[in-house]
Amino acid sequence: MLEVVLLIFEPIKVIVAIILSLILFLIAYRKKRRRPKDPQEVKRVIVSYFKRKNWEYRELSHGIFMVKKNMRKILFYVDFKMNFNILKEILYEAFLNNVKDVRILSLERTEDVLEATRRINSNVNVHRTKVILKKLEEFERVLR
Amino acid sequence: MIVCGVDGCPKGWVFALKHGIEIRVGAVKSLKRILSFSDLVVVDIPIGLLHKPRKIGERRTTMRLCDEMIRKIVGTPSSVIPPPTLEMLKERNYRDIKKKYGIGIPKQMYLLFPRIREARELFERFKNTLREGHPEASFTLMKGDKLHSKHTETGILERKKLLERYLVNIRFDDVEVNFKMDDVFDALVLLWTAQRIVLGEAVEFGEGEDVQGIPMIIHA
Repeated sequence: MLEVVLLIFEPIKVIVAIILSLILFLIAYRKKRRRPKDPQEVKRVIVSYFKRKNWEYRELSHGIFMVKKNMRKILFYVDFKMNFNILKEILYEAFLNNVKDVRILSLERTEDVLEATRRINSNVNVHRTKVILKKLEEFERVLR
Repeated sequence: MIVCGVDGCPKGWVFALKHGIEIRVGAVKSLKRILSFSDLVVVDIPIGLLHKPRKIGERRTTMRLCDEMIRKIVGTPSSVIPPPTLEMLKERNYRDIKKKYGIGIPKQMYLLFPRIREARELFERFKNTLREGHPEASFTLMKGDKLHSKHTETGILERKKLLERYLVNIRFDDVEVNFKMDDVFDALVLLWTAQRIVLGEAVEFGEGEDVQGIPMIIHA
């Protein structure tokens, strides 16, 4: 009788174990996917990339930062949110620091942003890139 | 908020801009660069122009209504230079203007033709940002009375004191100047006008629009 019961329950245990491990794997995978969704981390990747290549780094206002090597200057802005006022600040900093190359990395692509980008495009060289969140290493490719 | 006063000069534009409490003075070749990030820019350049000279009694003039009004306020007629008409603006030779239209334009104004064309072109894109001003009218309103000529020492000192009083953060010792000081004064007083426009305190002179829909109004 006991043998019969064991024969029935053993496959169930195996199935339960498989399901549990699958659930755990999915949770871990979701966590891994969510992890890079942080502008600060994105910024860190960009900064470390340029520091490795001996670029100077300077923090400006409103989360805008600049990297500089010899005569070459690039202005960066990384955030989820973007609006017309921020874009004006970016352009103002570009003007003050005499930067022609501005790179804006944001997730939102609202009408305001597009209009502001159109407005500034003729003044500075703007690279507006939609960030691929799940692959942080993509930044290095994107930035080049 | 970024507001700016800009004075046109033959080689480009002298600007005074205010961001927060910080005031900066400098020069740029293109007005577009300033307009791209500013909330309001006041320029000392006639933007809206008459299509043809108008008649006042027997006299033909290119002066707009706003110029006539400013001339009365400022007191010194030489402070208001007659602007060109739209037809004159197309001319590329100074001597042709008098021959063709029967009315001369001061050489000083002719040298500003490229700046006027630039401002007019940009107006369409920046109609909410760009305004016309007149430095001497603003100085007169600032003082509440007529000023001495800007070419005299008394006049220069008078303007400097007024600017230091009304633009709290400006200290002329800190201003590094590679351009004419009266251009800097003009840009700064236009910055004051821009602030007044934002606060709703500015005075408008003139009325109407030109054939391209550009207002012929001077702010002070």
